[in-house]
Amino acid sequence: MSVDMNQFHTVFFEESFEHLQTMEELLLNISTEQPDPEDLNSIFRAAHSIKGGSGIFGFDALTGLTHVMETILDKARNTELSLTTETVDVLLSTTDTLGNILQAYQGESDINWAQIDEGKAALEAILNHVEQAPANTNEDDQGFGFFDENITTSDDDGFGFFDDAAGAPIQEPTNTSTDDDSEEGFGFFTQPKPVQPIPDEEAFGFFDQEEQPKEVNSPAPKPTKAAAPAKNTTGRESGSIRVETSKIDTVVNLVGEMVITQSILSMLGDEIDGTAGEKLGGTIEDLSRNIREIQEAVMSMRMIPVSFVFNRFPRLVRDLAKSLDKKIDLIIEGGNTEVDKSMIEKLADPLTHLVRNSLDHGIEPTEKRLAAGKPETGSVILKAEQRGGNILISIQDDGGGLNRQKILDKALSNGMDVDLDMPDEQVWQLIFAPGFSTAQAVTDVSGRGVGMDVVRKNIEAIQGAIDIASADGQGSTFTIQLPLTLAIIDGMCVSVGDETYIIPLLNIIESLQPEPEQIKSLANDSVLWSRDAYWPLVSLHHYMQTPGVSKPIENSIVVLVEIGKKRYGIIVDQLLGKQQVVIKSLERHYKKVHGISGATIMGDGKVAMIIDVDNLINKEQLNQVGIA
Amino acid sequence: MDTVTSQDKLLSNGLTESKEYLTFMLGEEQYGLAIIQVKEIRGYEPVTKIANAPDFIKGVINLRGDIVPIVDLRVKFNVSEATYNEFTIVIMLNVRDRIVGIVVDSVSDVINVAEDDVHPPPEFGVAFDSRYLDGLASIEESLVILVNIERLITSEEIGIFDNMNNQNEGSI
Repeated sequence: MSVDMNQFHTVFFEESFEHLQTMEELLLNISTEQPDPEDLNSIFRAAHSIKGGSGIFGFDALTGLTHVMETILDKARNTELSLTTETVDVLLSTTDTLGNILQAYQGESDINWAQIDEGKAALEAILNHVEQAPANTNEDDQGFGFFDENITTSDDDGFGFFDDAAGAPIQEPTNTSTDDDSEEGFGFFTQPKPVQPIPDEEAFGFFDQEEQPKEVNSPAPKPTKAAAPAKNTTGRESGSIRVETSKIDTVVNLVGEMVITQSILSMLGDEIDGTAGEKLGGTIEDLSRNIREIQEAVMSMRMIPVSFVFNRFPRLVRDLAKSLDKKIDLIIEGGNTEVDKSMIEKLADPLTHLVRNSLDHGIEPTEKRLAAGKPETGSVILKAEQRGGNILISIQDDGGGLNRQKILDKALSNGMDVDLDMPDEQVWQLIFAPGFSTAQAVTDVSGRGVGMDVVRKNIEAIQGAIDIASADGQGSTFTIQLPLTLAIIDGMCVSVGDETYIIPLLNIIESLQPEPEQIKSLANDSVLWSRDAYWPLVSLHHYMQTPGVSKPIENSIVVLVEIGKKRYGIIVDQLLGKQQVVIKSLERHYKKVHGISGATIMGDGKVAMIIDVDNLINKEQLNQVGIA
Repeated sequence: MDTVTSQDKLLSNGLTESKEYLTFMLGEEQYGLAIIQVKEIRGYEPVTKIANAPDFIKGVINLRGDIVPIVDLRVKFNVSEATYNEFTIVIMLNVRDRIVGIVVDSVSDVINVAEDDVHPPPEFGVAFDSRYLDGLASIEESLVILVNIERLITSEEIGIFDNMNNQNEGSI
């Protein structure tokens, strides 16, 4: 029984957090002068759904706050109350409080009633600004009542389902809390209904929203409330469904097995002659196509857009900019870049620290910006992109940049081993040292006390790396490079001896069969003359220690690749074709192999290594042609 | 039969603990490893080679979506001719949250060994260094060398756990 209850709780918590997220997003984007009524409705509905659910489960702490919140929102959408930035701020902080309460309920920890009372008081203060005619209150409840009809009935369904098993224990909270609100509203609605000229207004209500408030207050808002929520709720429900990640993983692995079984089947099929064999071959072909499609579909399930983390930042930037008294624009790019879910979860903390850092220490105070001839409003660009086998997430600000001298001074005073002539890149890395306070070293603004060493540790824990680029007076860029453990890349399959390797297509410039005169020997290595430049060459055969003798270079294929500033050619035996491959970690059960970024499972179930273009070539070879 | 007796013993006096071992052959000797670490037993299948790996690390295979390394203990300890055919056996082990396959000559049996029946390992005469051994047990008049497979696989000598502190990370 308790297990059943927990299931409902889990759904409620997840949904409520989602509602809070929606509320926050909408509140952030709302314009105070001309709020979009549809947005207000959505916020209202979100608040209302939380209220409804909390009542049913007896989470009383939520009910009170959401109720007042609803009242404000309702007035706002009826333009009885004009939204101000302050109101939005209070509403935003209420969503925070609600989040805290939810977490407290979820974690079964103590609820901060003081915070709730405070929040309630703040909300009520707003309400008190508006005159509160009794007619209005009725109307509110009426509105709720209508809406509640939807909510309560749908919840009752679930309830009824549950009642079979559980019965009494849950019934109690329902009666005590939600029904107070909902049924009351219900009553209100049913009784005065005939008195009011609803049918006429109903049609209008939808279209003439601006005019309505000027008319009689009471009946107008009702249709909007009623029709819109119903439409929207159903829309969302059919849109997604919650599934545990472990279930998806199981499917991923099972599909992998299917691929192998299918390839065995097709090999067996080849052994059968005659018409039966032909038919079998055709059927297996169909099967394999279907399996491949399933595989792709399943893989994409685990990937979620990075906007899941990014979405929290507009709020953070808004709040922090305000408290720092700076004007800052946050620009988000590449929010739909897909990253493995497990990684997304672990990205949130380090990213938050970095964005905070950029705001706090990166962007200069307004006077300083103006003095430096920069626009008053600073900008922070949060960007995600996939490059080769990596996801790059960068936080770029147009602030003052890191202060080399201060970092060096600080490092020296900390007794760190530094060289005053070290290149900038090495100086920047110093701030990742434990106990190195960026606040004192970089700017005079006090920091939040979160060391960059923690950021680096967190990122390294998900096998990522962090780099800094900074120019004095122009700003700095922090780039997080993450592997895409489960991500899919486009690769070129190449063969060397009996082995197949994958070269990420993104790094490939061109593949060619070299003419003898293009090859020049330099010491032990050879270089290739192409595109008006000498390209150092790496023999994959040699590098991977493939058994057998390598083909003469004129009979091989050279794949010209580029990554960052490195450009070189990889000598392979043959090109096998393009293919989408799923990157699998080699380090999960083995260890990092130099020159290999991961492995993938080919259509026949065999493992193929994915070339790490960044590390395949060594410095000396690049030096030969003056690239490094 | 032995299984029954040792279990009886366990039940009767409640003092002796017993453990189940999977026995396998390497060359002429019979070894046992704790069955709790065995994930499954498979036939040898073609591997994908890993660059710059020692010769006893045959390569990696796809085990239902996991890229799993295969270590040939015969090559590592130079105990028998390493041939690969349909009878070659790979024991898939769960070692500290990782999966590792080991190639052996053959798999024989599952035995129950009471703790009392385990004798200290010999200092020499065994392919493995004695620090990788739990002891010796005599079962039905034949000698079984009990290997501490976890210690062996995670050892620097095998060298597939490159960072001992990181071994639980990277799970996806």
